[in-house]
Amino acid sequence: MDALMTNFPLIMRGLAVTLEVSLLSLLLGTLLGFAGGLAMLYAGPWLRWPARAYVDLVRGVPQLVLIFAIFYGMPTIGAQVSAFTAGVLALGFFCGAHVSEIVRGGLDSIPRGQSDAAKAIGLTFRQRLRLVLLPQAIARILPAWVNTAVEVVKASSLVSLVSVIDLMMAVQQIVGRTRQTLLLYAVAAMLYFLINYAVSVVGRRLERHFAHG
Amino acid sequence: MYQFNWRPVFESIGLLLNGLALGIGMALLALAIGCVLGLAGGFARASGPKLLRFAVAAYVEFIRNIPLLLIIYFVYFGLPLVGISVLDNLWSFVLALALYSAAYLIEIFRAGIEAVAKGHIEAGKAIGLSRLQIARHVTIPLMFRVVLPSLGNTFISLFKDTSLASAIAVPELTYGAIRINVNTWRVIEVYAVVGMMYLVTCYAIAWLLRLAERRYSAVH
Amino acid sequence: MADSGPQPVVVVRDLVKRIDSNEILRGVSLEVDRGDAVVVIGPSGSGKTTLLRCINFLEEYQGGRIHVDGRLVGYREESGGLVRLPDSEVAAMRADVGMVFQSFNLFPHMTALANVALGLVQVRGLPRAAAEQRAASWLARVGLGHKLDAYPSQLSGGQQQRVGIARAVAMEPKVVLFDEVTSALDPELVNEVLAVMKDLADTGMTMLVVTHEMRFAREIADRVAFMDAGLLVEQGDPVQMFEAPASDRLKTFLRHFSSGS
Repeated sequence: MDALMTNFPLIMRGLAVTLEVSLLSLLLGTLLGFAGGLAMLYAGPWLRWPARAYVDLVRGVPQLVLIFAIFYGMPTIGAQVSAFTAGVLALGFFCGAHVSEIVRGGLDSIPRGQSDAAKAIGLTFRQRLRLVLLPQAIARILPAWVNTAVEVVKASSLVSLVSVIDLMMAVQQIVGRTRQTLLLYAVAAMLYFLINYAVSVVGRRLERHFAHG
Repeated sequence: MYQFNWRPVFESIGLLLNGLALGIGMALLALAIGCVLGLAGGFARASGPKLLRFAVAAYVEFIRNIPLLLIIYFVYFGLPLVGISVLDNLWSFVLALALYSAAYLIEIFRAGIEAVAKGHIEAGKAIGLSRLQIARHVTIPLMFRVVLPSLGNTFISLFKDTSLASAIAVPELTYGAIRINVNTWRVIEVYAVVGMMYLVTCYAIAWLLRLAERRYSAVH
Repeated sequence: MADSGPQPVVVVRDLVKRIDSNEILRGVSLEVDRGDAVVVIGPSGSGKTTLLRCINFLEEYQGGRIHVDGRLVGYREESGGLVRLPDSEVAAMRADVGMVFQSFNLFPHMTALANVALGLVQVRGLPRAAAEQRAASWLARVGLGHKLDAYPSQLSGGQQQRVGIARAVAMEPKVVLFDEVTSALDPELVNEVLAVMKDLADTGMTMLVVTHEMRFAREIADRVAFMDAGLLVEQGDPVQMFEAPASDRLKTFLRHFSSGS
């Protein structure tokens, strides 16, 4: 237990890094995801096919391979990236591919009559999307997006394998010094569980907010 | 301008192919073990006593919300500390992956079991079958078609997750990529090839799955 | 009765619409004068709904011309051929053509008032207060003044369709298209909707109505058009069309409604 007390700041710092990586990746991925989903549904072929290729490619490759490829690959084409940045980029692309599919599916599942009615009163494409389609799609997108967020938090642990001192790496380091293996893994598990539980709770709150009578 | 040189990668293609085969093998093993656990857990959640149902639900919730990497470390580094030191890194990984997959398979099988119409179960009871016999002769065959797509997708996920075995030095595909990279520094070529191998394998599995689904529904 | 002077509001000339190799509309010509109620009848699959959807360009067309209020719909004439108009111009045209749908298509995430006010704010550019006032008065006019804050899921089918009508006419369009608006309703709810439509027709609204309700058609129509298999077979005075149909196809069709429903 002493080991836990003296190393508490290290654990907290690792936790902060995990949260940082997760949040940044989620933000990047959500933006990419909306762009990708909209592109796959509404853009011309010159944008639709690359979006489709991006989604299919990223979803067939493990997240760890993405992280390694970006971390080791960027320097060879001249771009120096920190392990942290490489991790965020890789996880962001991973998240973006999933969110693209979710957004595409959510918008696609809205009955055609809705866009017919929106067109019939003279709304432009941007207005239809903003006022009629997206508000309805959000309700369908949210549950799957929350699942993706949980996956991102779990995948953030992989940045420890490129030596980013996140929660996982911090715990590994403390275990190496104190040999309190089981205790520390239990603490790590509890912290990850709490983060994801909080994500699910927030997600459910959001879902209720966006559901309409 | 980056000078592409594919030869070092293709010279080590044997290493990569072995790694790929190992990855598929580990995923299959983990799926098999996970299915046994998943079926047991699925039945427990669908029709077991309340305490058991709660315990299984807690397991599912817990495992699904923590990283696979943590489970791997726990099995590989943690189990020997409580006396279980028979597992080498490969079997540690397979066990960890199986425990992880079980959390998803329990829910898949539970949904499949609940999807089997009550009428069939009642018919089984009516002709005097025991609960175990009903499970074996009625529920499982009927739910198979319902769960098949989910099983296939789970297998694809598990295959991608085998890349984490590289963290404990199991010589699968990603570990092979790291080794070639360290020796030759042909980073882009290595990861392009390895990425393609994962991608093609995932598509091949998905294609086989679609064939199996069509074949199975044609029979029924 | 033809209005003296200005052009008809809707002019459809030799309209052709194809899907793959199927000709849904095979050269349809129709006019709707200002203040008239034109009713289109015919068997399922005759292309009636497609005709309406071409007029507000929910469907593209491959041959012929459609003019609404003098403007070509959906396309621009360019060096002998037709070029598709951009979405923003099509949207501007649609603001002047109202449509009421068979399956209502109300926006489920908005109240009845918001449904009707949406177009007034976003397309007509009215300030919110004025838009809601106009929307409220139209909803009162269709008998739903007490349901302004209800969501579509809280309304019956007949009430939803009346909101749909209010949403279309609040925009003060040049013509309103009604696409089998009572076909999806339970029988006891049909009359409340027909009553609203009769009220609108009596006040001189320009209407193009596709319907199976033959008795209603006789009541409100200034002109009736009969379509079959993608062609406009016969059109004319409602009394004459129903009492003394000229074409055999119309005679056959009307026989199914001989009970006069």
